[in-house]
Amino acid sequence: MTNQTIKKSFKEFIDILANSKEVGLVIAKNQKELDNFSRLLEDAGFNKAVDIANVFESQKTYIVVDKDIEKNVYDLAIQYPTGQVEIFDNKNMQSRVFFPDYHSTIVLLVAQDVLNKIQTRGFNFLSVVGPAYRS
Amino acid sequence: MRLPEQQFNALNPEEEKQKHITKSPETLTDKEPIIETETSVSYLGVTLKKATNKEGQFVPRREQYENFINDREIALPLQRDIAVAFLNGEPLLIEGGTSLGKTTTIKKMASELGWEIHYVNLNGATDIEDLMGRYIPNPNKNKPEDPEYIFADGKVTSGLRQEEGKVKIIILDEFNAAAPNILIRLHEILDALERSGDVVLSEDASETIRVDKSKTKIVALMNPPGKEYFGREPIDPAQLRRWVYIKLPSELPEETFSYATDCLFGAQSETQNIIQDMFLETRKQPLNLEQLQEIPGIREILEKYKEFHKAAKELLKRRKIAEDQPQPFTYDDRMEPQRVRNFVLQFYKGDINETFQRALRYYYSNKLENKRDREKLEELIRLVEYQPKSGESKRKGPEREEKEQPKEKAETKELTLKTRDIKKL
Repeated sequence: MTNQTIKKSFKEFIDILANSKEVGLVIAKNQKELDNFSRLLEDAGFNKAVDIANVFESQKTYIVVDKDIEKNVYDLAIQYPTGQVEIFDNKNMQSRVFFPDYHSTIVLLVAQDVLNKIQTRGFNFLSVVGPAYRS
Repeated sequence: MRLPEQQFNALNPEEEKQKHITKSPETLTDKEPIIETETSVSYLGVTLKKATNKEGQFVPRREQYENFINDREIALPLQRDIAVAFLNGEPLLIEGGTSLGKTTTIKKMASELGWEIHYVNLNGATDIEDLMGRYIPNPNKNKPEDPEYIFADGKVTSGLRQEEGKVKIIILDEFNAAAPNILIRLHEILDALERSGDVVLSEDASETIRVDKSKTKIVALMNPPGKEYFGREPIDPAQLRRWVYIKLPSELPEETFSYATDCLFGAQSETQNIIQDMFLETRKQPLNLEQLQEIPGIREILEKYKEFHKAAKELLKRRKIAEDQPQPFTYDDRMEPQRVRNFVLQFYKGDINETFQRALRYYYSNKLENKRDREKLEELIRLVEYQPKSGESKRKGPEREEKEQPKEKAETKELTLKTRDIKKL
């Protein structure tokens, strides 16, 4: 796929994701493509969340999934369609509850090798997310 | 002293106001499946009280569930069955595929009742303290005499802690993906809830919490072990006995899928024919044991129930039922009779046969996924009935029942014979 084609199909994916009742998943082949997708998301007005609790702070958010936060992100993805998301901060031992309004958009960005490892640990992201994109 | 008929009527004042109408299972009704009042919500007749204190972040918002589809095959019966478990203070374990909306259904009910949801996903949860709480540095320490550390609740403990006017549901999602140490700890909580006792939170036992099953409801959810659900191992059947176990299909049934899809596309109005038989009715006050003994036929039906329980266990043991279910389970000799009794106390509305048979469907049939298996058990369930002699009403007191002993023995024998037949299957 050429860069232009990727840009076009990626934009289509973002349009599809708008108002979705599920989080979206973008799977990058490698780190280089992951960086590229990050840029495309930011160009489309997405803010990068550094922590799971920041995910609900803007209308368009993406978060990069890695093995350090896989559990929290999985919990987010699985609760999101149920109308209520409880996120637990185990340092301060406090829960924060969010109510998705489904006018906002959340994208999980993950590299293929990381996704493979996470899936084998029982976190079946492919089953719990909505629309998915890969180039 | 009251005449037998009066004794019966005293148990069922509402029943007496209307003539008993025998309805076939397929009798349609125009009753609303879900009825809400200012203080309660009834799910197919099973009434739960709303919380008086609905404040706080843990109560789901109603607007999130405006598009919830109450189909008659999965969603409505599931809400009724969940309501039965909540009403009886029973921990509920629901197994079914991901597409059935188990979590959403519970949250939707909580939004209507103003109950709190405390959600825990056990998949990948490794730290028991995240669930049960731990000591953390005191964030409010201002004076030297303030404690250095304070105990902070975990996700489960916040659901166990009682607060005035609140009712809390703890959802334990992906229950069969939990680490063994976490399962052991959770079962300690179930035991404490059963006896409304204390749960010890800290290792030095300085922190305890008094739990109350009327204020805290526990629902565990899981996907079927094996099949396409990686990492889900069957749970030890001995551990399952603590739960009221409901087996839902692994996938949406064809009719539900078609109906829900039509609704989503606006192709069908969101009402389906509701059958009278789907309804249960909650008593305003549960019967006590003395009143239970006054019900005509109770002794006969009890004997038949014992026979039924043995036969159902035998079918399960020989894998004549549930053969294709990867999650093994048992019909427990102590828990099942206790649950059936509680059901009868809570839902008896004048027809002991119907009440008993519905209890058996709830606690025995609902554990079976396969329709064929349910039909096999249904053959046995139909035998658990009291047959008054011709000219006698089921609405009689205990005095005349004692004269009917020979009849009772004959009926029990009939059940035994039938059971043997089914064992040959």
